[in-house]
Amino acid sequence: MECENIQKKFSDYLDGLLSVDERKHADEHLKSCAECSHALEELRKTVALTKGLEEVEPPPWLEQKVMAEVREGERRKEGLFQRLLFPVNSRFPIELIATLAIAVTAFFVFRSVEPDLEKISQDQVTVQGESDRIESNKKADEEKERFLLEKDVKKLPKKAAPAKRKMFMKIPRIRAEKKEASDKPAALAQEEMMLRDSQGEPGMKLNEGPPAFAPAAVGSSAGEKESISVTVYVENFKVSADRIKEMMKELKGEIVKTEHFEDKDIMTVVIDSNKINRVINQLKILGEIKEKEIVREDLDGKVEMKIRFMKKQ
Amino acid sequence: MKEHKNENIDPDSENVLRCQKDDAGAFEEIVRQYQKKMFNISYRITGDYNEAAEVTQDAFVSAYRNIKNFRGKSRFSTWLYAIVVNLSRNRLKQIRARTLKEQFSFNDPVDTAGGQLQREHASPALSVLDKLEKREVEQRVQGCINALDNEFKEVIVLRDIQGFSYDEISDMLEIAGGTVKSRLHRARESVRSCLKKLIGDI
Repeated sequence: MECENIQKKFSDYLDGLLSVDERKHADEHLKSCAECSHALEELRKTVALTKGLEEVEPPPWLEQKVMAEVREGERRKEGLFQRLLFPVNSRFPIELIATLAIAVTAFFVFRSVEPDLEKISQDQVTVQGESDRIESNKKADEEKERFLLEKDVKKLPKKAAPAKRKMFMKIPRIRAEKKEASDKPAALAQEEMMLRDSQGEPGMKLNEGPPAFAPAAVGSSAGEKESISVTVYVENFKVSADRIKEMMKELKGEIVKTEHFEDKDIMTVVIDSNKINRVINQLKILGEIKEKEIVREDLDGKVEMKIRFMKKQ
Repeated sequence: MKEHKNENIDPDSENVLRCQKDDAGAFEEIVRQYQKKMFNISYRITGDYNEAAEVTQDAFVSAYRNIKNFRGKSRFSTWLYAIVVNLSRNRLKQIRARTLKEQFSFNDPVDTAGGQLQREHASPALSVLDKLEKREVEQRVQGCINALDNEFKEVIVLRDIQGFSYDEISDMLEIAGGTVKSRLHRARESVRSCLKKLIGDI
C-alpha cells in the first residue's frame, strides 16, 4: 500500500513537483524498498528515452506551402472588393464582359426594330413583281436573287450573316403561305415562292387596292418614315433627269437635290407615299431597274426617294 | 485560458499585431520560427510524417485566418501550439476511423515495417536497450506513445518530448494543472510498461 502510494507520485517526483515533506517521505521509503527504487529507475529511464526522441525536420516545402495558401486566402479576401472597385486590376477583364454585354444588347435592340425592315423588304419584292411586265421572267429571276443578296449585304452590314438570312426568311408572306408546301426546307421554299411571286404568278393582286409600296413607305404603323432608293440603268442622264423633273411637277413632288458623279447621277426627291408606284412605273419606262434599296430616315408624312441613274450597259 | 504566468512581454506580439493588420510577411516570420516545433508536436501525436506535414500546414493557415481573434490571454506560441494539438487530435481520429486497424496495443506485438516485432528477452549480461540501435529504440518509444489514448499521448508529447511547462500544457489543452499531472503520470507509467514488454528490462 505504501509502495503504491509512493509510486503514484513518481512522475511528480521526477519533475521535482513534490513538496519538501513529500519528497523527504518518498526518499526515506526508497532507501528501504528495492522494488520501488527499481520502479523509479525504470520510470526515470522511460522519461529519459521519451525526452531523447530526436526532433524531426519538417519537409522543406512546408513554409512555402503555408505561405502560398495564406497569400491565396488574402487575394481572395481582397478580390471581393477589388474586383468591384478596381476592375482594371482584376484578373478577369470586366471591360471584356461590358463589351460583350453591349454587343449582345445591341443585337437584341436591332432584332426588336427588325419588323419594320421586314415589311419594307416584302413590299419591295411586290413592286419588283410589277416590273416583270417589262422584263423577261428569267431575267427577273436572276435579278431578284442578286437584289436579295445585295440588299442583305448592303443594308445589314453589322449583323451576323445567319441572322441576316433569318431575318429575310422571316418576311411574312400571306400569298406564299397559301401555296402548297414543298419538300424543301421551309426557308428555301419561301424564298422560291417570293421569286415566283415576282414572276407574276396567279394569285398576285398587284393592281388591287392601294399601291403596294405605300403602307410600308409611309411606315405609318411603326410611326417611322422611310425612304427608298432605286437604281435605273438609262441611256441618257439628261433626258432621264428631265423626265423626273416633269414627273415631280405632275405628281407634286419635290426634287431635294441632284448630284452628278462620273458614272452616275443621283436625284433625291420627296413625294407622297402613294405616288411611289407611279414613279417606279415611269422609271421602268426610262430604263431597267436594277436595284432597290431601303434607307431608313425620318420624313414628315412624305417619302424620300433616291433615284440613281447609271449608264445602261 | 488562463493568464500566462510569465510577466515578460510576448516575444511574438509585434509580429502578431502586424498579422492582425493583414501583413502576411509577418506571418512568414512566425511560420519560419515555429514550423519545426509545430511539425514535431503533430508528428509525435499522429505518428505519421505526411499526416503531420498536412496538419501543420492546416494549423498555420487556420492560425492566420483566426489571428484577429487572438486576444493575448496566453502567449501567442501557446495559442499556436493548441491549434496544432487540436488538429492533430482530430486527424488521428479520422485516421483511426478510416483504417479501423488495430493500433499499437500493450498486449499485442508491435507492428513494424519489417513485420511483427516480437518481445525480446532480457539478456542477463547486457541490457537489450544497450544492444539496440538508437533508431530502433526511438521506434519502440514512438510505438508505445502511439499506443496511448489521445489525452495521455498529448501530455507526454508536450511535456517529455516538447518540454512545455505544466502551466503551458494546462493552457494549451485547457485542462487543470492537476489533470495534467495525473495524466502525465499515467502516460509515463503506460510507456514504461509498454517498453518493458517490448524490450524486457529497461
